[in-house]
Order: sequence, then C-alpha cells, then structure tokens
Amino acid sequence: MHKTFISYFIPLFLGVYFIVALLPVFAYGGGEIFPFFSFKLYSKIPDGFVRYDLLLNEGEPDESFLILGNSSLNPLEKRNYPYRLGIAGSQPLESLDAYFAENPDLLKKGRSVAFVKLSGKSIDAVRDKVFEVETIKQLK
Amino acid sequence: MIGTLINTFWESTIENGRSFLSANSDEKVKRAKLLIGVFYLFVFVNAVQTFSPYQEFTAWSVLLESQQLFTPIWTMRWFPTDHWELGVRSILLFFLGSSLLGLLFWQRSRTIRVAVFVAIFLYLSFVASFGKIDHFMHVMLLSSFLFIFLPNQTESASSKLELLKVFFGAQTLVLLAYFVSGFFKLYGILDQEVRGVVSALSPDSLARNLAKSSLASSYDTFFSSVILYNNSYVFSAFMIVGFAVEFLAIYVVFKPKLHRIWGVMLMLLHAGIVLTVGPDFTIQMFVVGILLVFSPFANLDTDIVSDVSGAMKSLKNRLTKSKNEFVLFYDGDCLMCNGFITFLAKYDLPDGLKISKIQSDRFQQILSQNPDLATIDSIIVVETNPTGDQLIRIKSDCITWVLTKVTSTFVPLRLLHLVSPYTANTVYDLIAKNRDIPGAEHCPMPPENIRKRLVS
Repeated sequence: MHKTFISYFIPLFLGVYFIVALLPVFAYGGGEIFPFFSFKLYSKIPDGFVRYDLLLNEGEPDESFLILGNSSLNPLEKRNYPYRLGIAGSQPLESLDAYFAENPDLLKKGRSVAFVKLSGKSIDAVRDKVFEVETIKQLK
Repeated sequence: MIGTLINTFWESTIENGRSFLSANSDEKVKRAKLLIGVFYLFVFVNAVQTFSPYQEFTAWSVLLESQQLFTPIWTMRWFPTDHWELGVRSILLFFLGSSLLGLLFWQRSRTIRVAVFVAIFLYLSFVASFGKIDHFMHVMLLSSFLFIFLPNQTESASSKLELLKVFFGAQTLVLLAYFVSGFFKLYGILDQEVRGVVSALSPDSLARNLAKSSLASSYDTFFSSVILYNNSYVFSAFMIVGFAVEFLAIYVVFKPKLHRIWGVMLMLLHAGIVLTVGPDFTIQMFVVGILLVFSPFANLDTDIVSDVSGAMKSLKNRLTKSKNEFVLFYDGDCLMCNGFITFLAKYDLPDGLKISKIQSDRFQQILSQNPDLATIDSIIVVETNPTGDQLIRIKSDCITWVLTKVTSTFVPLRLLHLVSPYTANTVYDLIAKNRDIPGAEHCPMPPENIRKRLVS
C-alpha cells in the first residue's frame, strides 16, 4: 500500500505546500507566494484605515477620487490603482514627480490632480463618508 | 523520519480496522471518476466564460486594453508585452483548448492533464498580474495539479487505489488550507485580545471587516446596511463559528463520515461571506462541493442527513455512559506495550474493560475480518455495543482514549488527537518505532488487577 510513487508524492506535496504557504508568515514581509493561499487573510480585525488616492477636479464644484466611490473603474483598474498608489505612498516626497511621470496613465483624468492620503475609521468612511483627507502633493 | 510521516499519513486512513481508501473500492472509484469528470467539465465552463462579453472580472476585452495596468507576478515575467494582444489571446485560447481536451480525454492522457494544469496556471497568473492576487481559483489550480498524477487506466486493484489516493490528496489539500486559515484567524483573536485592541470578539468586528472590503471594492453586500448600522455579538458569534469550521477542517481529513457535513459547512461559510463581507469564492465552493459534499469516501448508501444523525448519535455515545464492551489488545511480546499495561494497573480501570493479547484467538478472528490491522502491532481497543456493532481504535486514538478513561491528566493528549489525529499518530509512530527498551529482555507478568480482566 505504501510503495508506489503516489504514496510518497502526495504526503510530500502536502508537506511542501504547507511549508511554502507558511513562509510569508515569517518572511517576505507577509507577501503572498503565488499560487499559495494567504493564510493570514482576514486574520486580524482592522482598526482604522490608510489609503492613497488621487483627488480629481474637472473644474466643477464637486471633487471626486480616482478610486474611492468611483463606480466607473473596471475590475482590473480597481485592483491596480490601489496597488500603484500604495507604492507612491511609500516614496519620499521628492520622488513623487518622477514616479507619476513613469505612470502617466494615473494622471489622465481630472484637470487638477492631487495625491492624497485618506485615513479614518473604515465603518465611518463607508457608512457616513467621514474620513480625513491629507494632501501630500499637488500633481497637476 | 520522512518514511514514518508518510506511513503514518496513509495508516491514518484506517478506520475500524480497514483503510477507507481500499474498502469497497470499485464503487468509490466509480464515484471518484465521475467527480473528476465533473471537475474537468467545470474547468471547461470557466474557460468558456472568459470569452463571454458579460463576464465582468476578466472580460477578454478588458484584458486586451489593460496593458498599462500589467504588473507581472513571478510566473508572468516572461510575458511578451511587446505583443500584448497576441499574448492575451494565446493565453485565453490555450485555456479554452486545453480544458476542452481535458473534458474529453482526461482519463486517457496525462499530457492533457498537464496541459489543463498549465493552462489554468497561466490564466490565473495572468489575471493575478494586475496589482492584486485573488484566491478564487486556487483550489481548482491545485486540484488540477494533483489530478496530473491520476493513473490512465483503472483496471488493476493497485491503479484503483492510486486514483483514490490522488482524490484523497486533493481533499486533504483543501482541508489543510482551511485549517491553517482558521488557525491564523483564531490566533488573531488571541493576539489582538492580548494587545488590548479590537478583535473578532467585538460586536462591530464583522462591520469592520465589511467596511474594509467595501472600501477596497466599492461594492455593497446584501447585508451591508444591516451590519454597518447594527453592532451585535450575534455577528461576531457567526464569524467565530466560521473560524471554527475552518480550523476544525483538519479533524475531518481522516473522518470520511464527516466529509459531506464539512463540505456543506464550508460552502455555507462561503455563502455567508458573499452575503456579508463580500469576497466571491463561488468557484472554490464548487470544487469543495465536488471534493467533499460528494466525497466517494462517505457512506454512498445514505445521504447527508444520515451523516448528521450518525454524528449526533456518536457524540451522544461519547457523552453518555454506554454499556459497551471494550477489549484492549496488546502485543504480549512488546516491552513497551507491557509497560503501558503495567502503567494502567496503577489506576481504577473502567467497568467493562477487558484485556487480551494480539496473539490471542479472539484477536486473530478480528484480524481475519480487518486485514489492515496486521500493520498495527502494539495496542488496539475494540468496542462492541449491545447490538454487536464494532468500533476499532488504533494508535493515538486507542492510547489517548484509554488514558482519558483512567485519568483526566491526559485530556490534553486526547484533545491533540481529536484536533489533529495525524499529528498525534505521528508522535505515536515515532515512539512506537523506537520502543526497544535497552537491557530489558523479558516481559513482566501483568499485575493482579490486570490479570483479573484478561480474556483469551
């Protein structure tokens, strides 16, 4: 019963899967090793949020955000914009112009565009639209 | 060490003296093959869906116009961005073509099963290369990898067993992933409570998770308004039950009678997540359904309702004092087994417990009905209820059960066995493998209170 290749391979594969999936918990900054599950997903209850966004103004009284509340984004934009703006948020202030020059598609909307940091309580932000907006840099 | 772990893994499938992989294998093989066929059908349907103009997430048209959003993960670094349209169309067509071949020829060709795995892998890698990895197809991908190792023909007994082992491997993989996910969620409660911050025990914990998802996706869920405007411990209780269902998935691996029940629980968990927090795992739900809800290792003559009533009955038997007869069989030639019996003699043994050697006629009779027990050569408990039904406990199940019958000191060991039989069996096997006692040559005479319980 235990002598075939499968008998060895299945338990070994499960063990390797288990170890590789656990690696991000201890290393790689918690990032996920594709295609292994992120075991820590939803493991902590969030207390507040910090997100980066672009505040767009078309010259009208109402301003809007590139990501927050923008229902016109396609699913890939919804994934990609937070990722790239998150990277922008980790850049030093003096590098931001260069970063956005390398990512011109982020600035294609809005007559004036400001790179902003949004923070507050998630529930207040979703339920009552209450959160803080801090302008990091006027980009356009 | 690795050999012990591997042997322990497969021996943990022995239930009531026989591996549930090999018992009535024809019927199980038939069921498993049907389910694997349904799996490949489902892969094909998913591949077709990627071409639908109504498909929102990964519509081919959106993929074609999203080159500037492409942030390749490690599996996509080779992608020809200079020929974006050709690359996108090739990946989608390869997914469609391979999955069609998989649907038609999965039983005949390992090469085609490899192609299906590669196609899912490439497609999933590609759609995960836009800034965020989702997990909605991970189980499908990993199952398709294990299915590569299915035998191409299942006429011989050994190839039938191989097919069932691969299927069982896929089931184990899914349950293992849920267990670790549940473990970290329960650990998260402990960690956040110790640090004095809001944890899943808070009445607004579900609302916080929902708000986090909603901010990221801009979607509302069916119960968004109810959860965001009403803090309640009922919500946190639901969440913690969900964590427990994930965590206890490891217990189910070697309990085929619970496969269907746990499959349904995991599907309900995902349904609950879609209704409340939002992440869509409907593809994973389907694969969990194929692997667990229709598990070939469940009792195929009954339905899930019978599984539930059987589990309740078993739980009731464990909680109430039954008048069952218990016979503890031990290897009379094994010093450690004799030492264990001598150790038991220090305590008041439970009523109805009889003791015999595995060299006895009584055990040989049991062995003839349960040939897989031949590999277990140390201690076994056979429980017989008044109607004659037998429950056979082996390895860590047997040891921890006996110990908790005589003293509550060993309850933690019993809990280890209950939560993870595989871990407990591995510890058992490591001890059993090194059971030679240096200097000892003769087994001692059993103590008086043991001799009174000896049966031949």
